[in-house]
Amino acid sequence: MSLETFLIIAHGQTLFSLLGFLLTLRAKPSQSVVRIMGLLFLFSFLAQIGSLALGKPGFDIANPNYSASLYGILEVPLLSWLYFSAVGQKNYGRVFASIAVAFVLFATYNLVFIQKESINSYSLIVGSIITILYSLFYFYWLLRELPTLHLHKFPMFWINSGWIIFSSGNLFLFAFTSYLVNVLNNNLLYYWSMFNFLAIIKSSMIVYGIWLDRQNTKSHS
Amino acid sequence: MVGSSEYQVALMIAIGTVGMFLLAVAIILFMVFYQKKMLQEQYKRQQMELEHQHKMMEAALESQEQERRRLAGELHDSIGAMLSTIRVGITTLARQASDPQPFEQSKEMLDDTISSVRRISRDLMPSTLEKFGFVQAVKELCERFHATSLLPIHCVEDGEIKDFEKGRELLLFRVVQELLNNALKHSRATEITVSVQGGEQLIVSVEDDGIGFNPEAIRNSKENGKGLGLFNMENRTRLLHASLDFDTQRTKGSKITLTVPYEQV
Repeated sequence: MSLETFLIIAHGQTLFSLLGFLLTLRAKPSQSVVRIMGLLFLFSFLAQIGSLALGKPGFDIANPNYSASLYGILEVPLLSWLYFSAVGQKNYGRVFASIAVAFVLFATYNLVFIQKESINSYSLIVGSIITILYSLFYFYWLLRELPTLHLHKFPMFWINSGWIIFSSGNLFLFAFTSYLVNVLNNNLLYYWSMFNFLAIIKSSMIVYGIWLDRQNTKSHS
Repeated sequence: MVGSSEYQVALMIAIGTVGMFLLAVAIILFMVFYQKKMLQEQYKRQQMELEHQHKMMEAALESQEQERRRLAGELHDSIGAMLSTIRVGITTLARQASDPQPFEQSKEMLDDTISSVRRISRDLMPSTLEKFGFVQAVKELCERFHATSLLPIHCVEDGEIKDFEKGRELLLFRVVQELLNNALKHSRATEITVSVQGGEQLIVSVEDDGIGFNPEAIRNSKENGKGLGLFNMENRTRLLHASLDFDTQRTKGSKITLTVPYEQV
């Protein structure tokens, strides 16, 4: 893996996040899922820019991993909000809120006291597990409620699928961080390239879901 | 060593790829399963709707029959009785009058009215059906229609015809009544045959040698009231879980067969 290839993938991921954010700009207040995804894309974009900037030679303000770690802390609360909006049932509010609060406390503690400036793989693993559980719960909710006749035209199905693919891949990646770091002889280009590649797949699916939502909104109005 | 670490990286990538592939397959299977469940739910909803419509139809027909029963009773007991009393009065007056001739015409008109009232009452609620069963009621129907129209109407009974539940019996009778009515009114037939066959299923058919008819044309007709009799017959047939077949291959006349599984009656 050369630096150029890594940068192509990383920039590609950054552009996808920006594209996703731009697509959500014209979302109406009723499209809460799309607006929350817009926030996630925005923070993802900012985290990518931060990582790339901090990683530039001579720009030694802070370790680039801090950018990804901060985004990791924000991701789970936003996802909790996303799934709570998608399900639309108030009795789940406390559960989502509790998970979000517990995760933020754990991830912050991990960042400050445990893994610090190294890759916060513990937070990323827990975050991935939470996201996978949210996704599986949502799939179960879909089977129970049967909200639509044509599942392939349902935006949240694609958004959810994107997240489960991303989180499953990440869980695999983060669970073997130490092993991969040893095997790759501290060459983390492969590691982050895989992460970015998964993020591109996730973003593509989510962007498609957002596009479907726009089409559905247009056809209803 | 380098080769070994490259191999391990490739292995990790391969495992990751297979994992992703399996996940994609799982998502596709989920979509298939969802679609299947959705279709099942739709089917269930349709069945419930059909059942509800079925019940509504049953209730409507039951209410119709109750009203007919009440009207038949009123006609027979009230109007029929009054007309008979009036007839007795006129007969007495005729006997006492010097010239009974003017009273004869009135008596004849009154006799016709009394017959009409009895006929209407019987058509509304056939007492033979309640007392003697379906086959006897059909035979009496054929005899009455023959008496009014002077058309040869044959009633043929074949095989062992089992007893059935009164409500179902009345529905069956109404279908046959409607079929015979239609044959008399519209077919221009010179002969009508009603056959009732027992066996594994109850088969009732009404056959005539008239001009025939096209049931589809009648169903699609936009004329007011046209097709209503056919619609009612088909509703009753559905309630009986029976089938109503129109023999459309005939060159002359028509034959309509009602087939009812015994467990449904």
